[in-house]
Amino acid sequence: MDAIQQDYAEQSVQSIFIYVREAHPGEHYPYHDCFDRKLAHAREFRRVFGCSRPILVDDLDGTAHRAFGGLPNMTYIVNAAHSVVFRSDWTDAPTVRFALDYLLDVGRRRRDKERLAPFYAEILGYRSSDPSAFDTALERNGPKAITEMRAARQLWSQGKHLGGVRRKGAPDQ
Amino acid sequence: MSDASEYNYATFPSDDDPELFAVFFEHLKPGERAPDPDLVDLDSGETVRLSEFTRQGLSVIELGSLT
Repeated sequence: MDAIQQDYAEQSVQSIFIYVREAHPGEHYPYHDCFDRKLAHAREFRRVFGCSRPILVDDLDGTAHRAFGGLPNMTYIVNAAHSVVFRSDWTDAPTVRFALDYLLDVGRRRRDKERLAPFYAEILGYRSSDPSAFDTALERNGPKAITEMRAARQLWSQGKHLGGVRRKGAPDQ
Repeated sequence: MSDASEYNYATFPSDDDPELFAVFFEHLKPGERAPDPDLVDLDSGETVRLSEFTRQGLSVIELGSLT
């Protein structure tokens, strides 16, 4: 996602990371009990992932996170009028590039004086999946994060999740 | 979920919050105006409005955490 910031900067695409609650708190990175801890984790995120994008930290209540839908790793594309033009319930860089290329082409067509009308479309996305790499990443958070993820996976495999809301494909982590 | 202690769970919830899913799936569809919260810029420490960052063109906004 940082590569996208670099690759699309010339086309005036801004990339931002909004820091929200810890998705998989563990002994090394526990839940945010105060805003200073949230800031410290956001700095650590910048260090661990080499994130070069602006990082904007949400308040402790998760106001921004919940307003955007509250899922752990969403990506939105917003236009200059601050309207949503793309959203995904997980983050996948190739998919974001696909959406950016499409949306930037719309800009070109407009500049070429093509007459355009907005419409609505949806897509089923596919992202690269590596559960063992995910588990390795959980180790960084602490043993508690791994134990709790295992317990959750067990319940999910029995269909005991989602509060009855149908959703295509449970998270594959 | 206005309680910060509920939002910032200490234990990973195996029960997804159905309201959260409903918010994502039913609201904020492409075409609708995005939220414009106040956020703290990590580098400057200043409080900013999200829309200050989105005025120049397309903005990619990823939400996430270290864990």
